[in-house]
Formats: sequence, C-alpha cells, structure tokens
Amino acid sequence: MSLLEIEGLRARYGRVEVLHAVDLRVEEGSIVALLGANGAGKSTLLRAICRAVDTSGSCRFAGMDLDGRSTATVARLGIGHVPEGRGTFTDFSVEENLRIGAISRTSFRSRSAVQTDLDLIYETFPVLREFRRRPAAALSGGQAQMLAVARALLARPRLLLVDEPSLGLAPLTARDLFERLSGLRDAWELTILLAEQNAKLSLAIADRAVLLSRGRVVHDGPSGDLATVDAIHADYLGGGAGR
Amino acid sequence: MSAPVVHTEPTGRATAPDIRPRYRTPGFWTAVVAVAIAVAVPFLVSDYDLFNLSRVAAVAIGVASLNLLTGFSGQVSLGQGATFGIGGYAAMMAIRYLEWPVWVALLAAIAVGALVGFVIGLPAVRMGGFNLGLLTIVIAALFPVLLYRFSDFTGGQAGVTLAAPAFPSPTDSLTDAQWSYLVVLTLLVLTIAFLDQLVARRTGRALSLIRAGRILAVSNGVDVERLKLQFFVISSVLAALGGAIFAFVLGLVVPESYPLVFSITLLVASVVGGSRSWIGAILGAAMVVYLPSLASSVIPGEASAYLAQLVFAVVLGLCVIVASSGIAGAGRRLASSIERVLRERRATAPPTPPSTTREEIR
Amino acid sequence: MIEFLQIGLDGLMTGVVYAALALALGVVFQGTGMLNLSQGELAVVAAYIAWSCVQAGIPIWPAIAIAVVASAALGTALYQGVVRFVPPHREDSLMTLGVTLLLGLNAIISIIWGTDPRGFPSPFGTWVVHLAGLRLTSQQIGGVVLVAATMLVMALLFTRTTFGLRLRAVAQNPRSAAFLGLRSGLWLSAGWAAACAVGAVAGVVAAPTLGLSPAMMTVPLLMALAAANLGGIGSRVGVVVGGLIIGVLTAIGGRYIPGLGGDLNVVFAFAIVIAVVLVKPAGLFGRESVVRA
Repeated sequence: MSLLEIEGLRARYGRVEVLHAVDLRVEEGSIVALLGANGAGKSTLLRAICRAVDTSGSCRFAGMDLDGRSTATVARLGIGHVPEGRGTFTDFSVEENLRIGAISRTSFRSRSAVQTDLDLIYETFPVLREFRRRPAAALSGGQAQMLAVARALLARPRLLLVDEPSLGLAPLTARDLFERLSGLRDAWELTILLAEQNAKLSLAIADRAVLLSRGRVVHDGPSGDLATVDAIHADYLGGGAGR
Repeated sequence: MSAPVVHTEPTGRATAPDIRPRYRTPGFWTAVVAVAIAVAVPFLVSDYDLFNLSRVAAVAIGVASLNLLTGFSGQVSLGQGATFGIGGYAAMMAIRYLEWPVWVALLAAIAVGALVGFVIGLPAVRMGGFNLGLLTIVIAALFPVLLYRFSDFTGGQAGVTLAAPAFPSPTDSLTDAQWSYLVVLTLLVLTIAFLDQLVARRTGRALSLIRAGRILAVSNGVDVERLKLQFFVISSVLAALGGAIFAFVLGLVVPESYPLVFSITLLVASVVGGSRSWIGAILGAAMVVYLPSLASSVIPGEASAYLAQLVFAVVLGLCVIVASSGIAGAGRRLASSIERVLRERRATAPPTPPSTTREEIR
Repeated sequence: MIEFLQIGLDGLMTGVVYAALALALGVVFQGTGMLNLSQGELAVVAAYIAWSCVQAGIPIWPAIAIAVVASAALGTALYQGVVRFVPPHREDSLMTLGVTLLLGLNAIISIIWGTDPRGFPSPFGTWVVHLAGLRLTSQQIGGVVLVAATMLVMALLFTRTTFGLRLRAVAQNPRSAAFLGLRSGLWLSAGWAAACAVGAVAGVVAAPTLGLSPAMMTVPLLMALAAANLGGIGSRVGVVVGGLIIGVLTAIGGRYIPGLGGDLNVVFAFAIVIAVVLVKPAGLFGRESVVRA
C-alpha cells in the first residue's frame, strides 16, 4: 500500500475545473517531484490533498479516506503543507512560528518531545536559532522558506507537501535548500511531494517525477529516466501543447 | 404591482452599454405600469392610507439616494438618516422662520443637502470602507444630540411644525391628501428617473469600474475621488430633498424622528430592498413605514417598535448572509431562473449544475 | 491646577471603559476583520444580566462573573451563528453585519428589559479618597483596578499561552493556521468570546456611573471607535492607550473648550482622531498596511 493514493481527483475554483481526474501514488519514504509549467495544476493538487479547494474523487492517506475532512483534520492526520509564498506568520517571532508548528501535538504529547524536535531544528538550521527572537518578517527569502519548512516539520508529519520552494530565491540559495530537503527526508523519516517549476533542481533529489500539464498527469516515471527528461522538454519547449 | 421585477443590468459586473432604446426594455414598461397604478391609487383608498403611501414615497427618495451610494458607488453610509433629517429641518425652518414659500423651502433643503454632502464627502471619499462607516455613524449619532443642544433654534423636543398643509389641494375635486400624494409621487418618479439616467450614463459605467476595483478605475483614466465626491453630494442632495418632503407630509420635524436607529433603518431598507434597484428602494421604504404598524398589531405598546426593529435586523442579517442583492435581486434571480428552466426544457439540454463554492478555510 | 489635574484624572478613569471596549473591538477586528459596532450593545447585555442576577438575589460579584461568562458564550454564539457565514474580505458586508447586530441586540434588550433607565449598584462601595487635594471615588478606583486586571489577564493570555498563540495565528493567517491543524472557526469564536468578556467588564464598570439603559454604551462605543482609530486597531496596546488618551483629552476639552461637554465630546474625540490619522493613517501604534499575497 502506498502512503498516498489518489484516484480520479478533480478540483475546481468556482466553476472552473483545474484538475481533471488525476491519478497519483506516493510510496512511503520517497521524494516525488511534481513538475509542470505555470498553471499546470501543481499547487492545486497539493491544496486538493489538503482539502483547501473544492474536490471530488478518491484521496487516501495511509489507508484513511480524506474525503469530507477539513483542512485542519488532514493536517492532524500527518500531512504537512509548506504553502506557496511560505505562509509564515510575519508578525510572530521565529520561535513563535516554530512553536505554532507543533501546536497540534502539544495537547496530547509531552512537551519534551517538542523541545527535542525544536533543538534538532535549530541544529539543522542554525540561522533560525540565531534569529529566533526576531519577527519572521525580518527574514530573507531563503531563511523564510527554511522557517516554513521547519514549522511544518515540527508537526511531525509523515507526508510533507512543499509548494514551489525555489520561488523568489537566488539560484545558490535554492540549491542549498533542495539539498537540505533531501537530508531532512532521512532525518525526519519523511515522504515528500514537491511541486516545483525548476525541473533540474527537483530531479536531482527526487526518486520519481510526475509531469502535470493543464490539470492532467502526462508523465509518471523514475526521475533518472531519459523519458522524463524528454517529456519535460516536450512540455516546456512547446512539443507537448497538443496533449 | 405583481409583475416580475426585471432590470436591464445584471448585478455585480460592468456591462457593455445596452444598445436597445430604453422604451423597448421590460424594465421601462414595468415602471410605466407601476406609475399608472400608483396614479390611480388615490381614487381607490382612504386619506389615511394615502398619508402612509406619501410617507413611503418620501422615504423611498431617501433610500434611493442611499442606493446611489451603496449600490452604485460602493460606499456604505450610516449617516443618511441625519442628512434626511437635516433636509427636513432646513425646509421646515425656512418656512417657519423665514416664511419662504414651500417650493423655495424645498430648494433651500436641496442647497443645504449639497453643502452637507460636500463637507462630509470631502473627507469621506478619501477614507472609504470602515472609516467612512465610522465618520457617518458618528454624524448619525450626534444629529439628535445637536438638535436638543441647540433647542432655541430647532425647537428642541417640540420641533418645528407647519401651520397649514404644505401641498394644499388647488381644486375642490381632490382632497389635500390626494393632492399631496400626487405631488410626492411625481417628485419620487422624477428622482428615480434622474438617478436611472445618472447611473446609465458614462459616469455610471465609470462607477462600476470603481466598484470593480480602484486600480482598474484609475488605470482607465477615472478620477475616482472626484467622481465619488460628485455622487456623495448628489446622494446628499436627494436625501435632503426626501427629508424635506417627508417633513412636509408629516407637517412637523422632531428630534426623536432621527435617532441613530433611523439612519440604520434607511440602510436596512436599501440593502433589503436591493441596493441596485430603484423598485427595491420603494419596497424597502414600504417596509420602514409599514413594519412598525404591523408589529404594533402583534404586541401593543412600546415593545412593538422594538419588535419591528428586531425584524429589520433579522431580515438585514439574512440579506447580508444569503441574498446580497435584496428582495428585488431575489425576484430578479427567480425570474431569470424560471426563464432559464423554461428555455432549457425547450432545448432539452441537461441542466447546468448549480455553482457551489465551498471553502473550508479563508 | 488642582482642578485641571482632577479633570484629567476623572478622564483617565472614564478612559479605562473606552480602553476596554476598544480592546474588544480590536480583538474582534484582528480575528474576523469586522468592526463590531454591536460591541457596545453586548456590554449593555452584560450589564443587564448582572443587574438581573442582583435582582434575583445573587450577590454582586458572582453576578458580574455570571455576566462575563454569559457574554463570552454570547460572543461564541454570535460568531458561530451569524458572523462566520459572511466572507471575511467583504468589507461592506461586514460593516452592514455590524449594524445588523447593533440593531438586533438593541431591539432585544429593549424588549426584554424596557427602555427606562435603572440604577446599577456599584460593586466597589461608596467611599471617597482624598489625596493631595485630588478626589477619587471607590467606583473610579475599583473600576480602574478591575479593568487593569482584565487587561493584564488578556495580555498574559495572548502572549504567554498557547491559547493566545492559536488565536493570534488564526487571526493573522487563517490559511496557514489550517495547514498546521488549527480549526479557524473554533479559534475565531474563542476570540469573540474573549472580546465579549472584556466588553462585559467595560459594561459593568460603566453601568453604575452612566445608569443602566439600552443606550448606555452608545457614547462609550463611539469613543472606543475613536480610540481604536487613534491607537491603530491592529495593535492591542495601541487601542488601550488610545482609549486612555481619548478619555483624558475629551474630559479636559469638555471642561475648557467652550460649547463642548456632554455627548458633544464625541466631536472632539473624532477631531483628535482626524488630526492624528492625517499624519499617521494607521494610528499611533499601527503599522502601515502592506498588500499581502
């Protein structure tokens, strides 16, 4: 059984359907890159998994049906979402942002586990420890993205959805971030579904690549596969327009 | 009056200019029929009913002036009742103390309305949104206080009264009430015709750009503040006119006619009737006039006024939550959906699914 | 000089009511984006509930506690029953909704309790303190202490507890909060409850001085709106300081500026607001708003 099993998933904004019967499986422990041009439906797919848009079709996480659950419940089941544009609480301090990440845990698990995780985060991202008293608004783009990822991690998710992490980052910063994501998978026992426009960066760390075009899956295969690279070229360079 | 309310312009978006001549639109004919019925009414009902209908017409002018603001230029004013009251006081005091003729007093009310609109509008259009609401609610709350405060001038609790009817009947074949009703009705029709032309003209389309978004309007070369100020002043003028007529119909003005709740009630009438419909303004005004007397037949005494107020609140709440285009809008939607169902049945096309937008989070 | 100080001091004592009401406005605004024009009426409801409890033979302090708890429940009910159905970005709808609640609550109060003014017993006794020529009544001192204690509790609640952290998170970015497992509806209604509890304290503190009537809080509400604008409605500290400033300045203005006094002090309060807002549109403590994606 895969950790995430999606069948015939459709999503709509008002009357406009933007995802048309998407099928997708994500195996536990893998990194799956979700590629595609602007408007292909990558972000919508992530939001659909989180029930943040109108959806229909089947979506099962660790054997549980997500249909009819609220966004908050889906998060509590163990799906972390790093939204596009990071969604950090800019008025909060960095540490408050991290603590709010763990907020759904504190009610029934011990505080010490959260504290251990917080220390682990500060070890992984020393810059966050350095700035922990500052407001999140004062962070640079790369730091804010790290904060957003770290905040999601503190909820101890099994599946992490990351939406366009390289957006607005300098190339070097983006590369550094992707390398960290790869390391985080092992350290935090994660499964990662990564929606990203930057195919090169994503393919470097992903096990599998799924290519979306106009709300449909047009390719699904191992990331090292030549076919993947061809498909991406076809999509980005205009060959895939007729599909 | 049971003809379906059809309006030529769908709500909520800027439409292309309607190229049909106005006399060919269903709305025009609805209006003609409505006016014809309204003209026939005075010969069918009692003078007391006519008095109430005259009040409805006067209040409708005030509500229509508010529609111009809320419905067509996107500004929510909570102080229209105060402007309405100022118009009433201006006209009554001009007659009582300056002994001006009625029609000149009406002009005086209009002038005062323009002045008030300009003075309030100048800061108001810059503020917009919540601050505009704040400014206007303060004005509405202070108006009765000021009336009591300067009671040497305003007559205080006793207010200002007219010695003789403002619109005495010129012929023996009509009673004063019949004549007065016809005069007020004429003024209402003129006001609505004027407003309808105003929002249909170029400025009306510029206004829909303003509602659609300030940036869009500015990039289309619309001077937003100037236009909003223009409309604020026009709206105040009409509110003052309506207030003056209302005072003439009643024959008196007293501070207790214009508490904060009255200003709010006008807003209720505008929203509930349908803030983008002139017929909605009349329906809303009818509610303002008749609901309290309906309520007093349910509970006697002081509580009845508050029962009416509670009904207003509930209806307004429902309008805000469920039907944001008011009674007139609901009627329009009903008419168009019936029309669509009939058309679809004829074409035997599968019905379009209703658009459901469910958002779990904001 | 003594008279000037006395008037300023009295103004400060009145200002705490404005500050508490403004805080309630601020908490609701930050959470729901709504200017809750019915906050004054909610405070009146609280005062009437306390009064009814006293009439029923309950001692004054338990009566106040009951009123505060009932107000919090009422706030939750209003959010869950009405406010959550209005989309948060519709500024005009929210404004109209505020008016709706004002109208409805005012009607309900008038129907249940009538419009005749009633005396409300001071929970603080009737002694007077003289200090360096200044005069303070027990009602003033007690009112300030009670409001200050409430503010302290609120400040601790918002900044030191996870309850407050959740409230603030949902208020600031409901979408992100949902992705972290926070149910925004639940926490926004908690925010309404907190706001209404603070408003209830304002109501019972104001009632002995103003006399209990449905219109009791109209002027304090306008003053609180001025205070919220002055301090910046996005800042909890700002609205409280704004309330105190409005209280002191209107008391002094009402005494020394000819023609002012009584309800007309509201005019003065808004003149101050307009003067400040022209220089600093977001208020004294507010941050200039930026467009957030």
